[in-house]
Amino acid sequence: MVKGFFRRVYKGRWGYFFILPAYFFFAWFTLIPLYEGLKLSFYRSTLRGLTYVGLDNFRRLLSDEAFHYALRNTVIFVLIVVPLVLAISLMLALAIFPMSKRWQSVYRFAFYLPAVASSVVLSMVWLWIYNPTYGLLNYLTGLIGIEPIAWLGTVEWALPALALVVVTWTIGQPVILFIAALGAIPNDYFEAAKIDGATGWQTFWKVTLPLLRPTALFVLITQTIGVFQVFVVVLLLTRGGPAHSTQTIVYRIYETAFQFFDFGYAAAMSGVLLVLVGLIAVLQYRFLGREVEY
Amino acid sequence: MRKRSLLLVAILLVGVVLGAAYAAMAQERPVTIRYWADPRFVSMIGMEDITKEPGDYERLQAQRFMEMYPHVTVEVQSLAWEDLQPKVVAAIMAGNPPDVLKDYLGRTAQYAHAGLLEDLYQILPPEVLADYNPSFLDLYTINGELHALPSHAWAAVMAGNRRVWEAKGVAHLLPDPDNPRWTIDEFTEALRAVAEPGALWPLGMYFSPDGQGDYHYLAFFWGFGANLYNDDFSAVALNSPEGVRALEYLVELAREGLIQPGSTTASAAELENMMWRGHVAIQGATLGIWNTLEVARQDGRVLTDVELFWAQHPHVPGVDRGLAVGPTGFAVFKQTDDYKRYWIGKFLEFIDSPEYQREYVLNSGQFPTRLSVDNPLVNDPHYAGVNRMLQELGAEDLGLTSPKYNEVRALLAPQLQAAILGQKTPAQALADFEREANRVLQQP
Repeated sequence: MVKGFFRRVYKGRWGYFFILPAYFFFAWFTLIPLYEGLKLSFYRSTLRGLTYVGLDNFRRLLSDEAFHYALRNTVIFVLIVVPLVLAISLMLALAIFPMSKRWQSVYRFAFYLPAVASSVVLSMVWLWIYNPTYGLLNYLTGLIGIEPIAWLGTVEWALPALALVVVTWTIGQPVILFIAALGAIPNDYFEAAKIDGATGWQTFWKVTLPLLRPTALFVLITQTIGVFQVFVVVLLLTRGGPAHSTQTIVYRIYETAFQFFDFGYAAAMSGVLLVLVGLIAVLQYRFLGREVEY
Repeated sequence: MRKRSLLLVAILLVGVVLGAAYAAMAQERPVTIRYWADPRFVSMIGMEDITKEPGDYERLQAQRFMEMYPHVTVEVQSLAWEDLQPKVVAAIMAGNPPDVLKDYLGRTAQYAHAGLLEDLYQILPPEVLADYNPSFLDLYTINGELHALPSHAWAAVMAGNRRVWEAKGVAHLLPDPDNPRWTIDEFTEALRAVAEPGALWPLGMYFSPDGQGDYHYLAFFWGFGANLYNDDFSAVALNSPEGVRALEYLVELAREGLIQPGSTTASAAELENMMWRGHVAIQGATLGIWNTLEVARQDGRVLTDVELFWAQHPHVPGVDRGLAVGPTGFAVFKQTDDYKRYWIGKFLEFIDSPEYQREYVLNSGQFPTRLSVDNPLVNDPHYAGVNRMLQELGAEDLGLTSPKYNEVRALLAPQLQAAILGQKTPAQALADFEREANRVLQQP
């Protein structure tokens, strides 16, 4: 068996050689920090030093109210943002795809721009939009008679307000992916459906959507992983407030490490997040990733 | 003869080598000092063009020091306020902290409790330390060690726009400039007199979740006679009848629309902008707000007529409390090289000289910590007034040197937010704060 392993490695030696630099960076900047982080979760690590505490950090999580808030808020956030991003990006792609190449480029650029713009700059703009006294959103809602709302300052609205920001930031990549996927669907299927008398809606449900399933699965899994790790928008707009209503897991990890200097406990939270996100990704792939029949 | 010649040449060569070695030793060994600073000093008076960005002023100082001592290199890094703690902590955990850090007492004290800082009593000469106000040295002494060199300190008051009250013909409701104190009832009456629903919320407040600016809402608690900590800082004491009354008062102000909407997640910068736009009439501040107003005017951000006045935070009759004081100092992280430690001490003496403290004071409106400083603001009426009030009423203790200062103050803000938003009653919010804070204080 060992001989067979080495034979296979030798056979693919050039492939391994070419991926070696990327793998080096992956190991150095991802695998090793991951290992060190998991190791740290078994220690009480403060500015004073390290003390081995075994599973104490994980036991603390069970009774940590703030962590429970963060977990709950993060799950709610994912349940709001991911379906919205999936649905809106698909609709936009369906609307953009029939356009000329020139207009496709314009809209792809427009929707992808937030993904490459500075998140700090975007946050400053959203702070202005959401400002309760001179913000754009209250001005627009005021035109239709709605009283000003402190979008980021109330428990009811803060999390949805952040969700809207994240949707606008993350929608670009799925739109581009869906447009590309639509372009890869052979026209024959649509012609066949037309010949068989299928309506537009039937064509969408029976032909387009099943053929977009692999792309939709990819978007679903990557968006879930990404949104579970939401941090910048919380840090810059609400810092977890008001009253913990926008506290998320990653923000709680940041607070625990950099404000309370409890690095071991923060590492334990990171470990829990890793397991949670990994589990969800595996479940999504297992239940939604069956092959499409052609 | 030949042997003698060779011997002479050998002696000569040895002499030259020894002489060169001695000459090299006599010159100073190069040393590099990494200096990280907060971004307080920008647009310094008289140097506006060359101190536009945070760090420009500190680099000028470093340049002057390096010209005096060419073998010393000072590498300056200016950190944004929100980066001050995370970046320094990350550097500490990476085993690579800066050599010198200019920062707020509340943060440097945490590093001192972790045993990360040099004892400046061992580095700075007694004659230099003798020039410092002993009360500041006491404040900065933790476990018998001077953990940082106090440089300048703000005192927290309220700053308001007099024009708002004048426009409504109710300027008589403002406190007497010679004794700017007011009771809770007087303060509330003044707020109600200028409130305009939907346009002007008289009182600007913010309850930052990380505890920044906590002295502004704590001042209301003190005004009702409540204390943050007990005598030995082993437990919090805010959950008292006085504390509950104070929070009930703030909640009532919010319900009446006298505090600006969104206060629970507002930032200091947003609040200032609201004041320059005329949406807020008074807020907690330090004397530095006068400089801030000038900078805002130059940037074109002042959209209404502003004339600032200051007053103490309001109090219940019979309650005399002091002002919150927040000093900034220079901390030195532990060194292993005595030679470098010596030059860091020289650098500290340089950047906290009486001449530089004078510049710090002039540009920030803060108070010097050295007795020999020729204070340029001593005749400024606002400065003199605050100084007088400090002398009369003293300073309130924020618990800045408590080992759990950071954690405790980050636990209070969310509870206050919950009370302001009606998620909890004031009594419930303070009870929850007491439970969580005391648990943290009891941890080793």
